[in-house]
Amino acid sequence: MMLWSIIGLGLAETSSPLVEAVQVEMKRGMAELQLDTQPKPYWMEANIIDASYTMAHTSNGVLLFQRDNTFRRVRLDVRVGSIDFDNSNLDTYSRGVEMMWLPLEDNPIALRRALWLGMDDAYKDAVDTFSQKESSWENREYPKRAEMLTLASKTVVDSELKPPIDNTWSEETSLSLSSVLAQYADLDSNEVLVFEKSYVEDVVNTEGVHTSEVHTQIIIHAESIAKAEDGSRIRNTRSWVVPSKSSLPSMDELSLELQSMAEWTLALRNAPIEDNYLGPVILENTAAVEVFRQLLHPQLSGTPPASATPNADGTLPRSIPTARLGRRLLPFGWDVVDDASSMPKANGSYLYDAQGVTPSRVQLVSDGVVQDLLMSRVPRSDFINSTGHARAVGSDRYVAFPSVVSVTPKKRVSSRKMTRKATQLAKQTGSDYVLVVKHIEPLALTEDFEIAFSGDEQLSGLTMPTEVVRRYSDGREDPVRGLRFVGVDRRVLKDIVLAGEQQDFIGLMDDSSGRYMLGPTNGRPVSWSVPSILIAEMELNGQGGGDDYILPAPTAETTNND
Amino acid sequence: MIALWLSALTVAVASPLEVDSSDTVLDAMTTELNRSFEYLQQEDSPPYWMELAVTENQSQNLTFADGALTAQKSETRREVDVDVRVGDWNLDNTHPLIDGGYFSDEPTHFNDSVPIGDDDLLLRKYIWKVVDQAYRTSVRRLIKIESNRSLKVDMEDQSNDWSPTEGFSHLEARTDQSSIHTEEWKDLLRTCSASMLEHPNILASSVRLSQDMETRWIVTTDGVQVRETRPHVRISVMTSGIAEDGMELNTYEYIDSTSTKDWNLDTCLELANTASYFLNELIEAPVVDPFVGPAILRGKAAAVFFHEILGHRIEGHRQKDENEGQTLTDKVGQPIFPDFINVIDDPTRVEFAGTDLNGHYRVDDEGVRAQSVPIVDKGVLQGFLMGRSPVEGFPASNGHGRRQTGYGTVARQGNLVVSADNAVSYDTLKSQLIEEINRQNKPFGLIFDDISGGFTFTGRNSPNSYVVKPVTVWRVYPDGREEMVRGVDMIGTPLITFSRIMGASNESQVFNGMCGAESGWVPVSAIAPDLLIQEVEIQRRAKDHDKPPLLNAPTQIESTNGGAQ
Repeated sequence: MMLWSIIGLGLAETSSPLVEAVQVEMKRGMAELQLDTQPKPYWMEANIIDASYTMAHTSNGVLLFQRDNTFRRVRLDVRVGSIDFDNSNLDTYSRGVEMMWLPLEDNPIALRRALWLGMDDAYKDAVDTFSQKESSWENREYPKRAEMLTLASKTVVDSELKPPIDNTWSEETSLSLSSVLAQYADLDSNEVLVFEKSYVEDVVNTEGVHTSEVHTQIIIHAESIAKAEDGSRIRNTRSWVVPSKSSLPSMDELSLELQSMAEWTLALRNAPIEDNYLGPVILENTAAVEVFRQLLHPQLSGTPPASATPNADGTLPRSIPTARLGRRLLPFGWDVVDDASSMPKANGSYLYDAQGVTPSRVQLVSDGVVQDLLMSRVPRSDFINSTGHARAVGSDRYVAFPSVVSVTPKKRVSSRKMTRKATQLAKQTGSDYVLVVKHIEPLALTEDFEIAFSGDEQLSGLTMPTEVVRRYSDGREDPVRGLRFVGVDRRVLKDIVLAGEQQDFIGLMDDSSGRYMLGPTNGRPVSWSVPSILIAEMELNGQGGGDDYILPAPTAETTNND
Repeated sequence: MIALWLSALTVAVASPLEVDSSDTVLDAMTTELNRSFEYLQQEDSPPYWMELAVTENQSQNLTFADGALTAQKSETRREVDVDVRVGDWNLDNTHPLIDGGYFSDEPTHFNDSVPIGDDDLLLRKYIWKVVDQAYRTSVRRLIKIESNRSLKVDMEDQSNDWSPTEGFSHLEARTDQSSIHTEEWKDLLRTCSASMLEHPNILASSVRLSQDMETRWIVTTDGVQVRETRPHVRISVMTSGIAEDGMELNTYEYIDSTSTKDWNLDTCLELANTASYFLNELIEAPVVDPFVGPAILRGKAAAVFFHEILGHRIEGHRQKDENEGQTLTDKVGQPIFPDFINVIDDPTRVEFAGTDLNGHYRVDDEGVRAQSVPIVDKGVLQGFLMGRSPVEGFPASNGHGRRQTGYGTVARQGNLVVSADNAVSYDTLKSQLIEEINRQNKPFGLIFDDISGGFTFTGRNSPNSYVVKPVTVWRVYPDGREEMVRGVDMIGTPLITFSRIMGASNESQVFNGMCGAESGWVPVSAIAPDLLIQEVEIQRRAKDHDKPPLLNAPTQIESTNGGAQ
């Protein structure tokens, strides 16, 4: 990868007709956009994605759906006011941010006309939002901090071209993996999705910043679904999110993993439903990753929440809790580090964040206590530097969120020792086995949406475990099904008793709000490396039953000619 | 051999459908229909009728703006629609649940995506799951229906819930369309799109070519087997601009057809010229105040007018739904229009005066052959558009049960054709308009030319009114002078408006479009002559308040250092 750098003033040198069109319109907008007595823009930024992707969706070795697409999308961010008080950081749908599609061809006039209209909308929206914010804070003291940190002008253009995508590879891979699942005729359904995307992300702003970086992404997602005899629906998933084909496991390894998923799904049909369980739990493999990802993420992002508009009676809504320094998240001896740039090949690593800032390595947790936070360009009173972690999905507000995270304990034990300790703890609760969770539904893929209006039903706090076994002291394992966590929150991490083997980085798709139902290909890539863990006490409830089929499934023998 | 269970009302036995092994989709559907229908006969509440429909849509499109490609997509999708009826022809699971509440009701129609490949067993597995779900849910709903019937008073219309039909086979050959993603089409559309840059009033525009090939397979336990194809292409030009008062204005010109073979650059440029001409005129046009007076609806506008105010009110299912206004339910045999107006709905009609008709089909979505239906003869209402849900006096379908995939069927329009006896030339009709302006002592009359669409309320909980949304409207003064105006919608109530039609021209125009209602969006056409109406009412249209863009549109290449190159 070749990089070259120019320190310039004002708008930086350009690298493509697309970026040039953005810069020309940005320059024109900065000079001329002004409504009557309203403020002019003082800052603009464009985040430009020029992308191609292909996806092949298969089932039982047959193509269900295939799509190839190319798009260009720009996110325009226009600020009016001043760096001390502008239209940003207000909790409203519109904030002077305009998302728009751009022509796919390098026709300067067509590109500029699209940008001209988008910038006009963004500016007017910025003025409108600015007045809302002025009104909200009239007679109130706005926090004494800048809305945004300033950046030194720089141009860093990745000279690599966007690699071509290969829809033949994605289709063949999807069909091949799907054929593996097709061998399991008793599955209710099975699906494989192979997604390949390559894109160039340019960030251009009126401080003279222009960064450009080429990204590639491969996602393989598989699902198997079966019905238990009592009608329960059993779903299991596997996902690989990697930055290149070379980072993928071999086809043999992928096939084995899918076989394991399918066999597990079928085995669960006859597995017992675990009754209400309260006791020690071992979390292994991707289950451990999901636990840390779901519980630690909100505690590591330092971006302050957007300011709320006042209630009708003039009071301000209750503020959203923020990540805090000095909070104990993990037991003594545990560290958490985020390093987006140290491993250029890791899923989730990058050279520049969505605001053009170079990421830095951040020691987030030392000896179990929060020492530092991930930051975007929005400062808070105790943090005035961006760590280069600003990212967002769509037109969401840029907030800092994890990229390539290592969670490491001071001491690790073998799996055998962990099981021994766990069964000892279990005995204290009257159980001769410990529950071991090997896989939890990724947050982005869960089908459960939880909301509670009263205290009657406690939220689970973690997505549903899909692979759980009872493990006995002799190492024997029996699968169980139908479990959900009850009332888990970050405090459970302080109850980690032991840590096991450290796992390699596992890629996921994530977003700033950690929202549910992102789907397998949406969001931003992240990676986590964590050890397996033993937690002293967790609660899980078991439930089964459902609507079973009345009609027998069709088979090749049940044709019309019978 | 499957023994069909039929109620005492219709004693007929259909043989299981024959499998067509040359068509994987039809084969899979037929096998699953026969297998599941036979298997479920052993249940306590067996189905008495079932339909499986698979719809495949191959779509492609190209979109250009300001001389550059903005989107290029192609996609193939297949979906299955499943209808299972338990109970009997007289009372089944689809019967209205009176005061049932939306959230406590079960669906009566089921749909899912199915694979696009030719794997027979996989297709059957996907279909099986939907059939099973449909059956289970239908049985549950029937339990509620039976209880609901005990709790509530009888419905006024005591017709059966469903009607039988003859089995038949209609299998059209499958055809492929050539790709539109060619350099030739791109060059043509690029040139056409770039021509819009000559009009400074146009803020945004797009030129689009879309092509769809829909194949529908239907099998029913009546013994119906259908494979019908529907090619559709559209070339369109959209423009938008903004008037000084902030009103956002749009024009949309398009041609629908079954093939692109007769289209070239001139076709597109003609649409572009028309769209840009009208946008420019509209931007300069004055806003008209609310007004009541005489008007001419040109053919296209008259066609939409008839579609909205008559067409939706003659859909059969509305005549038995007690939430509906039932404006025309008791009017059969009575005059509802002046005696020179005739209306039919004829989905079998393929084209009109060289224009392909959107509303053409051979078999409806309930497995009934499409029929030409007389609706109004010499001003007198003759009947209704019927699906297979009977209403009093109309026990059988006339092939108008339609739906978008994913929705349950109801009676819908196809090609609504309005004609007039004693028609005159358009010039004569305009002279009659001016006479009427003078007779009513009005300062002007109106001519409605193009219409973007409209909507109507047919329920009892809202006024039974309609709104027609014109794009181009002219004021006509007593001296014959015409002036374009903007910002108006035509409003009214149906029965009064029907009676105000004074005359018609001998020139008809076609409106091709998509109509949205309970059963989703279906392609329709309406054909009508120019109509003179004694009195129409217009109201001001809602408008935006945005200022035009602050900066001039970019028209020349500038460098980042400023200045033109």
